[in-house]
Amino acid sequence: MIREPRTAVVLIVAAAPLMLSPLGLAILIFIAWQLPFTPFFRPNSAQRKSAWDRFQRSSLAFVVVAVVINGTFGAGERMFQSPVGQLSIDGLEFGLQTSLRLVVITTAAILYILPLSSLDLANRLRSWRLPAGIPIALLLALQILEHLPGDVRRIQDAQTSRGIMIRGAFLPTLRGLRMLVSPLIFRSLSASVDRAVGFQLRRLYLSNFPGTSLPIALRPAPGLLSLAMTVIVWSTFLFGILVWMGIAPYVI
Amino acid sequence: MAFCIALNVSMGQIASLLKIPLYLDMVGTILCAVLAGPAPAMITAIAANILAAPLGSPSMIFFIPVGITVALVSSAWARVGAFRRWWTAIASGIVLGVISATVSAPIATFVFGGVTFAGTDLLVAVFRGAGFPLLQSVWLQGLTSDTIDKAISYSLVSSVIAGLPSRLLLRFRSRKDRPDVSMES
Repeated sequence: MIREPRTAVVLIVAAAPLMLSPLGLAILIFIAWQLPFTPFFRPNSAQRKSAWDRFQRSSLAFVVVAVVINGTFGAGERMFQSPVGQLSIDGLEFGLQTSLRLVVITTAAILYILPLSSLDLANRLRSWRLPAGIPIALLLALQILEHLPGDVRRIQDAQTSRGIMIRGAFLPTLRGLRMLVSPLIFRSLSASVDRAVGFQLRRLYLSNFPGTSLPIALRPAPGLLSLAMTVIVWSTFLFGILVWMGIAPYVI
Repeated sequence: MAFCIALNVSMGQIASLLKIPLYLDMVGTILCAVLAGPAPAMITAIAANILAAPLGSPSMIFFIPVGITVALVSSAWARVGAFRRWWTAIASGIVLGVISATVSAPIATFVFGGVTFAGTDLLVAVFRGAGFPLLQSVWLQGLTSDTIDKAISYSLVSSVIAGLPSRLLLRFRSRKDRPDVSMES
């Protein structure tokens, strides 16, 4: 049933500390119930897949770093003598609790956002009667984002060939940042105009400009399943926040 | 506006590419506030914080109120001409840093417990170790890092605007209710 095993693993690992309390066990069962839906939690582009992989890798490192930092610098009455020095047990617990809290919250948010296609997002925003410029700006931003790292590299190489060093010591780099950002703005503004014309040609932007009568092929919405996923993810997410804010009881 | 959203999201990546120890994640919002006014800047901040979540900065989604504050304050500063000179830009950036630290501290404390996936978490731990309560530690961390970050962001935007051709600036200045972006020669 679970065709995306890593999603399941992350959910279980992230929710594991909740098992330390009876309420946590209930939350874990609540989260586990959504596992059959994980095949639908698929990142829908290579970029998002890479973001998901990066998040998975960084989560564990983040938890370790947060625990070590808080254990080393944290204050508290209970201290522990480790081979590398004195560690605060209160600090270790605090680091573990807060970092796992962040991992669970962000996992829920990411699982909700990653499978959304940008076109679905834009169409949903338009269905909320938002100004047409907002969805188009979001789509443009996503397109620009894809090309921005390449543009940055090209501008950096061009400026270096002119003798302007953008990399180096802190202050020269800060000064050089202007030489990087200004051409980037010009380049992106002209590219935005071209792309906006492209969107208009696809009738995505209803304005006074002439468009075409070509219809846009929209993906069919999964309907009830989509609604169920939305309810489950958001209720888990909100319930988690209530637990960790102390509004709902939580014992570790 | 689309470019400013993309700039907000990617500026952090550019900063890490250039090995600059700053966030610079509000440069797009500030630029939009100066050139286009408060409403587009607020939309930029909201959209950028939402988009940043699936692109590697998941905690950004909770800091939308900070983005809105930066948009409103930057727009107000632009109206009084704070971006016309580099030193007024830096001074107003420091003020914004204090304001944004004050807005972000309760979010970082009550939602994340002071840990936000950033290198500045070390500062929070140091302040906690010094005996400050969590909220104060997070606020002090924000005061330390945000003032520097926003001052540099403001000076960067100020210098970028100074370098933009007047043909482009006139497109923004010709509209009513837009901030004063004319630069002193």
